[in-house]
Amino acid sequence: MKNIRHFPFPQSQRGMATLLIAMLLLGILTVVTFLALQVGIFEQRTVGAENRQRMVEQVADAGLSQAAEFIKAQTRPLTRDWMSADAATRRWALCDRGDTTWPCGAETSPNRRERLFRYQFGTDNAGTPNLDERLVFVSQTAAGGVTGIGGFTSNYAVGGLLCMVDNTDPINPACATVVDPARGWTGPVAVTLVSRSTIPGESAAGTAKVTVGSFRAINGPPNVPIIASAGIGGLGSGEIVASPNAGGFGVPLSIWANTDVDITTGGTMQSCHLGEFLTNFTASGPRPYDGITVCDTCRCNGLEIDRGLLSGKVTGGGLGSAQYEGIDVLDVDNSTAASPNGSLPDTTYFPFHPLDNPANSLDDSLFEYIFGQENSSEDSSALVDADGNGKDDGRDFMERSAIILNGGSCANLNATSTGLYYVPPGVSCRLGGQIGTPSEPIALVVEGSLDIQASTVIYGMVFVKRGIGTTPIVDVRGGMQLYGALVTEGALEIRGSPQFIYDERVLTNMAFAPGFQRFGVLPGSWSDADSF
Amino acid sequence: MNRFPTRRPQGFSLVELMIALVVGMIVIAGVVAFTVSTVGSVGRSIGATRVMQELRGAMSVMTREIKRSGYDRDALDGIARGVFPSGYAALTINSAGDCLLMSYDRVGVNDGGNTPGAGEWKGFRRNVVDGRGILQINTQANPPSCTADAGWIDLTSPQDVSVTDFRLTQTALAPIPAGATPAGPIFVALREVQIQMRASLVSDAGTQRGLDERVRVRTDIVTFP
Repeated sequence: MKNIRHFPFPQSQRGMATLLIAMLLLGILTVVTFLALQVGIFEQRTVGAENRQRMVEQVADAGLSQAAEFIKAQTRPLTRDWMSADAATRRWALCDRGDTTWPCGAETSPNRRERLFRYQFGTDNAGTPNLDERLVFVSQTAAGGVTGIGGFTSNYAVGGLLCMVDNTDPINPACATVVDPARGWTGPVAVTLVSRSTIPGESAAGTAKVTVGSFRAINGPPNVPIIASAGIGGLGSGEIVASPNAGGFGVPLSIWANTDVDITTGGTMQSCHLGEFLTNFTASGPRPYDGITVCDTCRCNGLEIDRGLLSGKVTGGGLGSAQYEGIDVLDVDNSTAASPNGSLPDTTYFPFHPLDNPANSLDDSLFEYIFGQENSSEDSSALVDADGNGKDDGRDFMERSAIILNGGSCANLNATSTGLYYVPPGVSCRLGGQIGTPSEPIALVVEGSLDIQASTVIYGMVFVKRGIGTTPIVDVRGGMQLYGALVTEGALEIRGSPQFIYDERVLTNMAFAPGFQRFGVLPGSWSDADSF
Repeated sequence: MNRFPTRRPQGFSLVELMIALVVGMIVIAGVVAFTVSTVGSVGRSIGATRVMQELRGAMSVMTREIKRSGYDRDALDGIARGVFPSGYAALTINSAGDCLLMSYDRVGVNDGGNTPGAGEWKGFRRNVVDGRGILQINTQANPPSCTADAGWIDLTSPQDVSVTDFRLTQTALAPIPAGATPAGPIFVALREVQIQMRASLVSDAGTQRGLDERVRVRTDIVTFP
């Protein structure tokens, strides 16, 4: 009996074998599955790490974009207040030659690094100024900072490196280190933005840098007080103070037009030299203002031919009271050596090649000449609408880069207004008082209508732009002064007695004043190769 | 005296044994079949993962490099000189669309130059060796050639993976019309490169995976007419 009990039951033996084999196979399966799981986990980790890397890159790029917008909004203080000797307003500090830390280290060349300024200001806590190298940082959430990405919290900080580009020697350009804080740097500037981003707790960090450089909103300031295409219908009793060297050294120009400017009939327009203009005044004479000489009561009227007067109604010189077209009117009036209608030869090009097709007298590329944006075909005078949005390319350009005025905001234009302004079609803009200053002038592009009140003084340029189906109207009521230039693409008719006083300094400032600085990303400056 | 009734071992009949044997065989066959299918599917899954890892690794290298294409440490000089872009900006793709050559400025390599020198070039191509497609990178040649073999090293492992398709397409987001003068004095073209790749496992040609990506080249091309 006992012996029998010690024997396992036969059926148990058979079942055990099946169980053992099944378990062995399942064990193998478990090992195989575990190995596959390891591979899967590894794959997941790789993908996760790659994802985090992408996220920090995106955050760093977001920081760059935000900092670039910040710089664009700060063109005025950029090289003025921020370069001040006063520590309270100064924000730029020169980098050390050997500083390879963030952000100075983003410049790899020590020779250039020691001429760069790093941004060093900020308010970490509300109202508490402290030295901070971050141009924008994530605590500026009110300004639209990125605080998280893909469910993670993200941090970023952007540093800035300023180069005031000195291209005196264009072969070996350098960064200037000395600037007059009152006037700022008048040349181009470039700010290298260095963005660091992290995802806290995930050991993910990224760095990206890009350089934004300044360029001028205006291609080149006009060098003649009045430039007109499509003719000048009348000049009223306007006065023009000529540009002294526009026609060559010592050859003054008042009007440059591609059609005949008829000043011999009607009106009492006159043009004269600046020197004589400033000595011919009634009450208060010339006075210095913001770097130039201005005069409220000076006149061309009363000057004589060869004694200051260049063209227009002559009151002396043995010419009776005839209208005289002098050397300063460059137009097309079929003059010949035998029968001169004006002393200069006719305009053979307008404004100049390659902006204009010399074979086509209809082509007028004044918009391109001034703003660097083609607005009419080279072969015809038709306006270009490349994107077919019903607005010519010039209008698209203006809507992109200028401050757009409406009837209400025109009234706000005053001495502090500077930069590019645009009066769109259908908008009637009424101007009065002083607009712009000689050091920070205004460029007013009119496609609607301009109603200039008496005693208005404008520093800068008025550009009368033709558009698709629109005819701009400029109405001058009584006396007004424009220190700078008038450029018109439409038929212009001047009423009243405006004065167009060419001033080279105002027009130069128009190219370089902060209001005319625009920023763009410098091609070839983006890199994520640094790490700090 | 034993109170319990004694039971004689009786054993199993042949029929019983055979039934037990058949049942056991069926159970084991089921388990074996399950094991084989699981091991096979795990193998395929590992194979597919392998293909993906190869593709992703290559894609990651390529996207990062292409994004940097055109970087010039002296870009700042362009403002003063008014010359854009520098010699680094060119990114060329061959007509077959399976080879890309580019360059960017590196610290300590060819310093001071405005055009790429040795060590600053990068090339990517698909090459076929013994019937297997391989993605290759070239960082050595100056400049690399799509057709010559100098400097090319494997980016994918030909023992495991064969790259069956590799296509590169460059799109200018604001393209300059062919033969036309760009409108306006300054024209900016934004560039994008589309990378498409397909690969299969060498041990199992049926295991195929693909990866597509678009990369924005950060260096824009600025053209003056």
